Amino acid sequence: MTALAPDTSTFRHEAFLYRGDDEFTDGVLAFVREGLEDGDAVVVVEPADRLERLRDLLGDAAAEVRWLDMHRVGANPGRLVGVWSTALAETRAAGRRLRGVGEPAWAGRRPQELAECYLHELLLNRAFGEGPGWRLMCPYDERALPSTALACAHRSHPEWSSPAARGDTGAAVGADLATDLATACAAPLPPPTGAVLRGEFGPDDVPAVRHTVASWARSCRLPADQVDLLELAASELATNAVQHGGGAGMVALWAERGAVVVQVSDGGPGADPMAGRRPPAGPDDAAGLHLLHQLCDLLQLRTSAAGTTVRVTVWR
Amino acid sequence: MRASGLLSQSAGVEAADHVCWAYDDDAAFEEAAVRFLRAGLDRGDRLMWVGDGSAERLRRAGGALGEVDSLTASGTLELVPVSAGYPTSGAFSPEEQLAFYDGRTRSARDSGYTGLRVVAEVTALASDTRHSAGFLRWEHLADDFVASGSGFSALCAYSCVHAPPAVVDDAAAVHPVASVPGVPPPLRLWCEPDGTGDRIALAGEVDVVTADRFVRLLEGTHVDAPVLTLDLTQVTFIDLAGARVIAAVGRAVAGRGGRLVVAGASRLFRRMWRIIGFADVAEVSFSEGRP
Repeated sequence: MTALAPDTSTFRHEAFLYRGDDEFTDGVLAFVREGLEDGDAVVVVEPADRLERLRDLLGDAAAEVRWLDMHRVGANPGRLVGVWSTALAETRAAGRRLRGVGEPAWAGRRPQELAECYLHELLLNRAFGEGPGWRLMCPYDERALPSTALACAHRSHPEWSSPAARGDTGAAVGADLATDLATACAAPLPPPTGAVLRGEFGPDDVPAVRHTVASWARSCRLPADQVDLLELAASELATNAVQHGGGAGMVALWAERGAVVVQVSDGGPGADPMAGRRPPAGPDDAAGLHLLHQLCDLLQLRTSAAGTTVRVTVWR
Repeated sequence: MRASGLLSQSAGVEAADHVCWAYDDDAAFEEAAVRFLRAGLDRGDRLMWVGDGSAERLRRAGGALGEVDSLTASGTLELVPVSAGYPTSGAFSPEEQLAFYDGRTRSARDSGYTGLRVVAEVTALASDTRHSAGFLRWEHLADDFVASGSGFSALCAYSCVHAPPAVVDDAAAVHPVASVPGVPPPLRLWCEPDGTGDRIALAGEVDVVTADRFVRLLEGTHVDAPVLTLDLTQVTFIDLAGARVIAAVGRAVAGRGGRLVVAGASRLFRRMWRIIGFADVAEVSFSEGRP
């Protein structure tokens, strides 16, 4: 798999396109074993059922690998830059090199989640592009994923490969990664299809925004935990709009199949798409988006010079 | 547990031990003051009314409380005009106020009364900008004194016609029971003794709008016991700005060798605390999850 000279100083972010379980386990295990032989710290983030299978097949060596459940840590793909940042920091503190496997875009995910996986994969290039070097393999299921998700895999990874038997490898397709990232960050989110409740708010309306959202969430018969969560999300997002987004904004609420959505938009100068993806550096660091990335089932942020939109979703 | 909550009418004021009565309707204030004092008389308190025209108000009320002259003659009732109750010039001293009411309460108990129950018209005093910081501190001291089981209880009256809204909001925020015309105060805190140290109960909503007030109100309290408990049971909403204030309190308490305990925090608040990593910067322990 390592046709290129092993370069340990840069971040290597590679898509691995497999067909079926055997190709998946063969490819991932080869990558993992290679890392263990090289003395790398290996972290595998996969859905729980896959973790079990990989562990069994790896045998005794499984104890040397750190296994994380992608269903949990990557439920909202916006948490994953933080997961890898933490893993990288811990690995380097221990004087070792990091090698990771992560499959955020597992087959069967919702379209909204796959859209965020694409953005996440693009952001990884930016988050770790400056070094220090480590390797990340992202498996993509060629048989089960929709073609759009596969096209996104090609666009978001500087390198890709298929199993050794087929021997295909290549570089990213499309425009350069930075341009693709800028485009993806600014692309409008799909509009809601059903009834929407919309309201404008100003600097003094943060309490009113969250009261409205909480009472609406209750009327959707969400459980109390989810009502509290959306209330907090609305409050933090409205606060951000007031403080950083030009002092005012628009809140929109709707329900769709299996989901309840709260969206806050502002006309401010735009935000850093990386905002909230890494843990705050200190107690006084801006942390609202980071908090919501951890708490919400899905957080989608789109930003440009014309403003910022943040959409949070809870599944039901 | 002390009586706490927001009142929209005078019923219920009897059970309270420290009330903020902000009013634009004089008749409703009179009704609340009379109810408050009548409950004190019934249980054997000595009574005091700091305010002008109080004798006429009590006579109008009738009953045992209407016997103003005999109550005054027997020492059960003392009527104090506003001008005599508080300094009209010079510095306002919270400590002197406390010493005054402490002395009067002791003397009431020494004379066989269960305690001292006071209705005090404080609009002019609270509205004097020279006194604002001292006044808030006085309300905290008074609340602590009430909560300590001293036998002292008080209804503090604020006329919304004369006091600026910010003064009324601040005052309402430091009483366990408050009645405010219009929009209720979003955040209140008061003392809730539990025998193990200082305990402050917080009620309402803490967000970016009220966080500054939260800090200011906390600064006014005089907590110095080794263990400070912050009771969030009656908090209906708290965001990151509120959590940040609590983390700062935790650091300050730890800095003087004490410990902050947060009681009654919601599950969401505890998750927030963990996610933001406040545990690394402020040693705070959680107790008594929400029922």
